Amino acid sequence: MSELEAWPKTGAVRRAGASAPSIRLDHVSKWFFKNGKRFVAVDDVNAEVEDGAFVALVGPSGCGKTTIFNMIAGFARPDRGEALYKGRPVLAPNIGIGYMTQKDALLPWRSLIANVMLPLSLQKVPAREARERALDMLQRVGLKGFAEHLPRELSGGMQKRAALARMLVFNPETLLMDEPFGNVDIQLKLQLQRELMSLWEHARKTVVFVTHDLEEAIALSDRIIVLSRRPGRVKAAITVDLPRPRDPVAIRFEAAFQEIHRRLWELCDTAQEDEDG
Amino acid sequence: MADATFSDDFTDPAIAAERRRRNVIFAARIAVAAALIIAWEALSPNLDHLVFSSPSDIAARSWEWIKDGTLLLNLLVTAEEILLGYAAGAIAAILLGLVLGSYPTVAAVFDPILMAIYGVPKIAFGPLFIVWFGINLTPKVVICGVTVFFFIFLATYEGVRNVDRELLRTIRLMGATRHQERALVMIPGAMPAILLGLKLAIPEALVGAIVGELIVSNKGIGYLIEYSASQLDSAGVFAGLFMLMILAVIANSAVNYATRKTGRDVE
Repeated sequence: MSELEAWPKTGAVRRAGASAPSIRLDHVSKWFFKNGKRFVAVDDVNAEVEDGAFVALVGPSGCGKTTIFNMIAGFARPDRGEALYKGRPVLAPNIGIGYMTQKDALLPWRSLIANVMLPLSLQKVPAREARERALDMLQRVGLKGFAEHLPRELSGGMQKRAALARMLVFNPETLLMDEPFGNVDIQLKLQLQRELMSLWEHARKTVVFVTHDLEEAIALSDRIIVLSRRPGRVKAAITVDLPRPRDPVAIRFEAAFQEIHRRLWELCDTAQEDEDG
Repeated sequence: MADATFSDDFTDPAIAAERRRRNVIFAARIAVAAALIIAWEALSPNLDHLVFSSPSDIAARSWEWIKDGTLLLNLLVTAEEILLGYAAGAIAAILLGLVLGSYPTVAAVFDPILMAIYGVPKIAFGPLFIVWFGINLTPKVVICGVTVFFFIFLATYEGVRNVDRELLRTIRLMGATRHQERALVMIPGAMPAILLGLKLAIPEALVGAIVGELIVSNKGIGYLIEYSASQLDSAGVFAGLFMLMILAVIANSAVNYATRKTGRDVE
């Protein structure tokens, strides 16, 4: 893995020799209609995610995090501006990206191995190879002995790991994660963050990670985009210049972490005041 | 399901008590039925025989029909109508439910039309179907099929619409085609609802076939009832009704058995 270098313009980190941003939001706005009234969910958002960067999207609930996420995934189209993936506008579901949300979305009637094999068989990988790769992935998330179990026979944490394995098994270049660890207890959350980090260190993928947990955002990402309360606007972009590889648990006790946490907290606090005031 | 929460250990006093309770319920059911029949028989000499008949007369009439083959002949006719109508209605209903469930715009177009037809009691279509299809097997199959159709269609449609959207999104991003989405997510996801619809439609299939026979027929259990009534033979009417009950019980047990068998994989 090459040395990470700072990118002066936005202060973001990128891999040496990396080209255009992987994801770009260009003056993106999105609105919805409710009872004939229009309300703006995302208002003129500009943002970039460099190839190989881990970028977190934070903000209060209802700030349009998930709307932005859906526009990158291709489930929604901007009403104004453009969402670009590798320089091309996202016009349809962005096939081939890794995708994970708060719901694990494992098929409840399929065993773990069959769930993890699914993305491979949809890409016509021969069954034997698919099985091997899926087993290997299950082993890497510590679920080797549970391949033939149904999701409901496993704990919530194991289901999360299985979803993680399924997302990573076909080696997608880009991962979109919408509060993937949103509904798990704190111990498990830290453990899953640790696993995600070590998997990510292996193969630096471009990650967009939506969360409302500020500590999680700092512990994992290279850069944090802070959104304001509705309508969602970019409040600030903070560079997390903490060393890698990181242990997402140990790093919380570093002074640099706490400094970023304080800055981030102030930003979110004022993001709230603006709206209340 | 090999699960620690399920056990049939006879030595467990709680399980033994539960078994005793179930045996008592079973015995009580038999006793109640026997008491009703005995009371009916005892009272029948003092009642209007044309209205109430009597269990012994009904048994005699049933036995007569069994012996001379009347029962078997008419039972087979009705069973055929039910089986054909149910199968045709169910297949059409599941297919349409899957299609409309996955295309909300098409569903919005057809919704009022389907609901308008659904709202009409199916018996009212009887005369029309007789004009269209004659008086033999076909109109009964069609009435039965239409009756069954709506039950299963609505169950399938709701089942498909309630499939977790997140599952669909996830496999869409994996590159699944429309067809794969349907085969891998929609059908298995809607399966419990479809099975429930299939089950609820069974007694409706009986209704459809008998209604058809009551309108016009020369064979079938409905015909036996109608004919006996026209001869003022109340024992025959009751005998026909009991045969319908037996038919309903058999059909229900068959579906219960089938759902138990498949339910494990889809639940």
